[in-house]
Amino acid sequence: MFDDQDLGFFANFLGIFIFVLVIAYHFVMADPKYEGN
Amino acid sequence: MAAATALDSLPAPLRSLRLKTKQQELLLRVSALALIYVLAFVVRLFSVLRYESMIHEFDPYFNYRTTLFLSDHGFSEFWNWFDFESWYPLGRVVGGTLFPGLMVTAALLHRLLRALSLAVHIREVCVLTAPFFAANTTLVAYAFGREIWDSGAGLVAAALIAVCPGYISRSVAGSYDNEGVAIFALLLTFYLFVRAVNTGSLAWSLASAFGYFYMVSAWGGYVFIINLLPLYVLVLLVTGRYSQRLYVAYNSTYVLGMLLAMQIRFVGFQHVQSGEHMAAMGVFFLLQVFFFLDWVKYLLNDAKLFKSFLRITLTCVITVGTLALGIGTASGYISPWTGRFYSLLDPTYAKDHIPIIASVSEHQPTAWSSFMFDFHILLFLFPAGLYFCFKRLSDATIFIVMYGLTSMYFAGVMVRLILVAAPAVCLISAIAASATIKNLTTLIRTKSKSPQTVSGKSSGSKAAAKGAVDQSLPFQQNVAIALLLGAFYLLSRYAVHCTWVTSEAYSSPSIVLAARGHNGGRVIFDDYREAYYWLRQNTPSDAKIMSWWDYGYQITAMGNRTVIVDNNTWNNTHIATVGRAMSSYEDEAYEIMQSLDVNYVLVVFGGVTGYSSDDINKFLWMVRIGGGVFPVIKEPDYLVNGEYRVDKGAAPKMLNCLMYKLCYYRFGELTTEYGKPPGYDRVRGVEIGNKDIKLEYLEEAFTTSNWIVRIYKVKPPKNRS
Repeated sequence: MFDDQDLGFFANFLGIFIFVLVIAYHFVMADPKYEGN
Repeated sequence: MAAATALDSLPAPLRSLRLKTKQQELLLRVSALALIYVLAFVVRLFSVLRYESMIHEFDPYFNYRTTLFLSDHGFSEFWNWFDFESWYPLGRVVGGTLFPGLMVTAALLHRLLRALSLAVHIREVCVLTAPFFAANTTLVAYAFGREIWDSGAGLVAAALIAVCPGYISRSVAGSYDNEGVAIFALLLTFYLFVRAVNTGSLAWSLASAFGYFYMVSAWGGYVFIINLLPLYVLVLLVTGRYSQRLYVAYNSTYVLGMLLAMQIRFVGFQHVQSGEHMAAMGVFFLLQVFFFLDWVKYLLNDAKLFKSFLRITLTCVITVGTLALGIGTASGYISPWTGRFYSLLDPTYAKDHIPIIASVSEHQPTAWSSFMFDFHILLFLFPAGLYFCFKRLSDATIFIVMYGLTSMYFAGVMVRLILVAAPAVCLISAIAASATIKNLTTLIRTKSKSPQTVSGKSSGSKAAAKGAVDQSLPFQQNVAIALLLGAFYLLSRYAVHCTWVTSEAYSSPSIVLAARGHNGGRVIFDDYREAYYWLRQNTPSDAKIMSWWDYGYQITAMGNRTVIVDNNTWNNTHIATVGRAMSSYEDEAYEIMQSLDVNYVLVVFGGVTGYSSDDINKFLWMVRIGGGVFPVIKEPDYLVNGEYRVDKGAAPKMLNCLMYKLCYYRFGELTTEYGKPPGYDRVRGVEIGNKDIKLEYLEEAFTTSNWIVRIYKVKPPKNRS
C-alpha cells in the first residue's frame, strides 16, 4: 500500500529530478549550435 | 563531444535517433512540464493518504454543502436559494451572498466525469478540485514566465510554484475553498492581460476579460486585480510608455470585464458604485483623455496652441473628476472603502475598529518566520529577480515587478495574503534562477568550444579565438560548474523543504486531529465528526444550535441542523448577541437563548487532550465582539490585573459565565494527567478554579470521547405555578 511516507519520498525524488531536467534544459539552450538562437 | 563521436560510429538506423538540439529542447521542456504537472497534483495528496478523502477546515464545508445543493437541484434553484438553516431567525440569501465560481466549477467537473461514465461522488471531486487547479496553475506560470522573460524562466517558475508552500497551504486535497481556483484565475488573468499589452490584440484582451470574470466569480480577492491593473497602466503612462497596445488591452479588458462581473449577484454594481473600484474607472477615463489629447496634438500640429489646450483640458478633467467623486461620495452613490480594504492599507485599523476581522488568526500580520517557512530560497532569489527585471525593463517586467512589490506588502500585512504573493515571488525568483543558470551554462559551453576552435582552424581565426580566451577568467569553466552545482543544490533543498512543509504543516484537515501517543504512534481524535453525527441522529430536525461562529458551517453541513451564527460573519450584531450569551451568567444567557429559540449549545474544549484552539482560548474575542455592541459586557471583568486566568485566581465573572461552566462542567472530577490533581487543564496548564459547577437552565446532552466537543440541551421554561 502506498502510504504518506512513500509519497514524501516520491515527491522529493520527483522535485529534485525536475530541477535536473530544468538545468539540462538550460544546458541545451546554451548550445551554440541550438537552432532556435 | 565524446558522446557525439560515439553516436557517429553507430549504424545508420540508430544514428537517425540522434536528436537535434531543437528536438532535445522540446523533449526536455515537455517532459519537465508533464512531471511538474504530476508533482503539483501528487504533493497535495498527503492528507488523503494519511487520513481519508475528506473536506478540511471550516469554510470548505459551506462550499461543499452548496455544491451538493447545486448538483442536486440545478443552477436556477441554487441561484435563488434562501437558506433557513443558518443565521436563525434571519436566514441567508445564499445565491446573492457567495462567489459561485468554485461550486460551478466542481459541479461541471462532476458532470463531465459522469458523462465519461466515471461514477465518482461529488465529494471526491470537491476534495481534488484544488490540487487539479494547482496543477493547471503551473502551466499558466510557465506561459507567463515565457511571456515576461523566456521559456527557461517559465519552466523554473512552473517548477517553483508547483511546490511553493505559500500556495500549497491553500490548495491541498480537501481544502475546498475559493482560493483553490482563484489563484489559477488570478494568474491567468494577469498572463492574458500582459499578453494583450504585449501584442495589442483584441482577442487576448477579451480572453483577459473572461479570465477576470472567472476570478470575480470565484473570490473576493479580485479587488486586487481591479486595483493593480489601473495602477500598472498609470505607471506606464507616467513613464511615457503609453501605446495603442495598452489602450486596446486596458479598455477592452476593463469594459467587458466590468460588464461580465456585474452578472455575479454578490458583486452587482460595485464596479460603478464602490470606492474600491473607482481607481479602475478613473484610469479608464484618463486613458480616453490621453488618447483624445494625442489625437488633438496630431490635428493641431502647433506646440503652443496644444500646450494651452492641454492646460484647459487637464483643468476641466481634474475638476469634473473631483466633483463627480465628491458628489458621488457625499450623496452615498459611491460607497466608501470597506473595513477590510482599510485594514490592508493600514495594518492597525482592524485591531482598533473591527474586532471580528482581527480575531481571525489568518488576518494577523505576518511573522518573518512565516516568510522563510513559505518561501525558503525564494526569499533571497526575489530581490535578485527584481534586479534582473530592472536590468531588462519592458512593459511585461514592469508588470511583474509591480505585482511582486504590492503583493509582498499585502503579504506582510496579513498572513493569508502570502498566497497572493506566492505566484509573483515564484515568477520573479524564476527569472533570477533561470538567468543565473543560463549565464553559467553559457560559460561552460562556450569555454568548452574554444580550445577546439584554436587547434582546428588556421592562424586567421586564431586571433579571434585568442580574443575570446583572453576575455575569460582563469578556472572560469570550473568555477561555473561549481556554481551550477551550488544552484542545483539550493533548488533541490527547496524541493525537499517544500515536501516537508506540506507533509508536516499543511496537510492537517483540522476536523480530525492527530497527536503523537506515548509510544510514538499516531493518535487520531475524531471528536468533531462524532459530535456532528450525534446532532444529526439524536436531535429534532428543526433544532437550533448555538455555538461560536467558527463551527456554524460544519454544524449545518455535517449535523444538518440550524445554527444561529456561522462563518459568513455578515451580521456583527447577531454574532455579538451570541458572544454576549456566552459571556453572561447562566440566567441572563438563558433569556438570550430563549429569545433566539436555542435548543442546544455546543462548545469546544481542549482541556483534556491539550487541544489549544478551543473556546476558552477564543473566549476573550467573544467578550470583545459582544462588548463592541453591548456595553454591559466589559473585558476587564474577565481579567485579573490584565491577566486572563481560569484557575482559583480567576475573576469571579469568568468563573461563573456560561462558557466557563459549559466547558468545565464535571471537569473537576476528572484526572487528566498522572501526578496532577483532578480538574487539571492541559492547555492552560493549571488546576481550574471552579470545580463545583451546577447547571440550572441547561443539561449535558453529549460529550465526545475525548471531551473536545460538548453539547448541552437548553431546558424548556418552568411551568408557572
